[in-house]
Amino acid sequence: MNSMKGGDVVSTLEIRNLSAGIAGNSIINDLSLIVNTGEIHALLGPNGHGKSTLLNVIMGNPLYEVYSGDVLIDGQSIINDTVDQRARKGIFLAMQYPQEIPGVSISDFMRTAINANRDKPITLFRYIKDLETASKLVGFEFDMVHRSVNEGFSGGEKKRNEILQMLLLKPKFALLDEVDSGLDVDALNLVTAAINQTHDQEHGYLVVSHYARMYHLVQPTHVHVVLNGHIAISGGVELVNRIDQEGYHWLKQEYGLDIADKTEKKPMIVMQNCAAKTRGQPK
Amino acid sequence: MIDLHTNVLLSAPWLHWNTTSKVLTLTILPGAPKEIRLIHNHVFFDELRLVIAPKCQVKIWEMPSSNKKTCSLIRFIRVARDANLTHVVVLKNRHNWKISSLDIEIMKRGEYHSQQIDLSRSSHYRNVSVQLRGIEAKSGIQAAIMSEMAAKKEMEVTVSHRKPHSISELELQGVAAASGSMIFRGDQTILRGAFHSEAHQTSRIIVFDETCQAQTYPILRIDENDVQASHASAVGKIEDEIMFYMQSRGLQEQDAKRQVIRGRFNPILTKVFHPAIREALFQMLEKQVNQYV
Repeated sequence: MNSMKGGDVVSTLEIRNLSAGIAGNSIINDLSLIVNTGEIHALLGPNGHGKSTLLNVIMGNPLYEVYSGDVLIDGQSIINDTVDQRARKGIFLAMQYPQEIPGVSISDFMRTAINANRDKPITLFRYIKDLETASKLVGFEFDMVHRSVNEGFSGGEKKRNEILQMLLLKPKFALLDEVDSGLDVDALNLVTAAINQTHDQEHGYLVVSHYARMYHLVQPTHVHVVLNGHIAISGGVELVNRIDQEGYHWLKQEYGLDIADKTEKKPMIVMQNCAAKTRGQPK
Repeated sequence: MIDLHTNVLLSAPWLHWNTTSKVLTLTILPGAPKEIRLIHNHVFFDELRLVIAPKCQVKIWEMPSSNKKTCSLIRFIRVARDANLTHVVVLKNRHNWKISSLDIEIMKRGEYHSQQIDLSRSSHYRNVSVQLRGIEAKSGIQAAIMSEMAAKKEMEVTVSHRKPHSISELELQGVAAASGSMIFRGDQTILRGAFHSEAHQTSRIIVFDETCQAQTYPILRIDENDVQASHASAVGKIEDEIMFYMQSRGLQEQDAKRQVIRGRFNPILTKVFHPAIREALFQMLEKQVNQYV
């Protein structure tokens, strides 16, 4: 249920005792977290411990299986909702690897997406104004919006396009999955400025990044470290600074937290001769 | 724009014609209008041949009527040196043509660009053979084909690079829905002596469900060194990752599929130079897609 905070209506995204994984392999284990609008939650943690999985499960990616637990918006479960229903309820995922959609322009795609979230279609005039404003904020030339979604885009352009879409759709809860990767310094400043500009009491953020610089530019209100699929420790910005300087191993020494090695195990390749070719007669 | 009724032969100064045993040959000369529509629902001859004279630039579109049992499309095109032909073929109504074939010869620095659009609900086999006979001859063929209502669509394009610096590009975008089936064969050969030539092809077919079938056969035969060639081919349903991406922006599954299909066809349809036909094709595509999505 919505609550009032300083005159503003606050919405809540609640992850309740969530366990999830992929193809029978558990990745998220009994994870709980509450994000209110007006808050910015930072998720840190070593690779492979479940940060991106968590964001995908919240968005409803059918690739992942939910074993138990729930995801709720304002107390209403969305765990059985389809991806588009969740989006229309105000969740947005800026993806780590945005897809290319040949032949579909950003402009057409976003207009369809905006109208899917409204009872009455947006007027063309209003839409173009919004598109111009959002393009400027992420540093896109306006011509870019006539190009196919992400097709032929650089890594940085794809990430900027994700933020452009977020600005246009104005979600209640934006899940940002490593939006800073692939961005140069200027682009990172633009993107984080755009996020900060939309940060108010009507919008909440769940941000995944490995880099302190991102969290210095977008100041989180809460910081969580995800280890072994659940939140091991929560705190403020001081956590970001310490992890930036010391890594994650101090968590084991100070809190006794065991950090499982989740690096991908690749089979060892043994190079062998598959055939021998003999030239002439051996002496 | 000129409507050229081939059974009412024009005495225009830019057109030369002759007939021999039921074969009509039209030669388009310099000074021709930039856009010509061919309406050849003729009964007096079996075959239509077209010659584009040197240095002549022309756009021709044919959208044959459906009242003949045999195919009345152009059978032969010769693009002379330094000539440039844009050729749009649209099949959109039900028709009884089972087979059509087109042979094309392109001479020195001649260019042939074609959009072949088939949104009809009838089965059809189309064979296009391109001979790049001159240095720097170019050919670009784009096909947008929808196969539905148990129709069988088959397209075979063969290209021979016979001279150096020749370029050919093939692109097929297809959709098979409602028990439709589709086969595409793209066969490009760079012959010995055609050095510095380029041959590229792409074929992508979306298959809606298990009632549909689609096959593509990308073939490149290279008999010369120092050439560029590439092929890309994909058959299958719309990728789950793309559906997830689009739905995560609030689009329902059906809207996302419609957008993807439009996205495949639109780049080809937008190249149809005649605005009224282009608009009619967009509307027709929209109507057909809405039926199956």
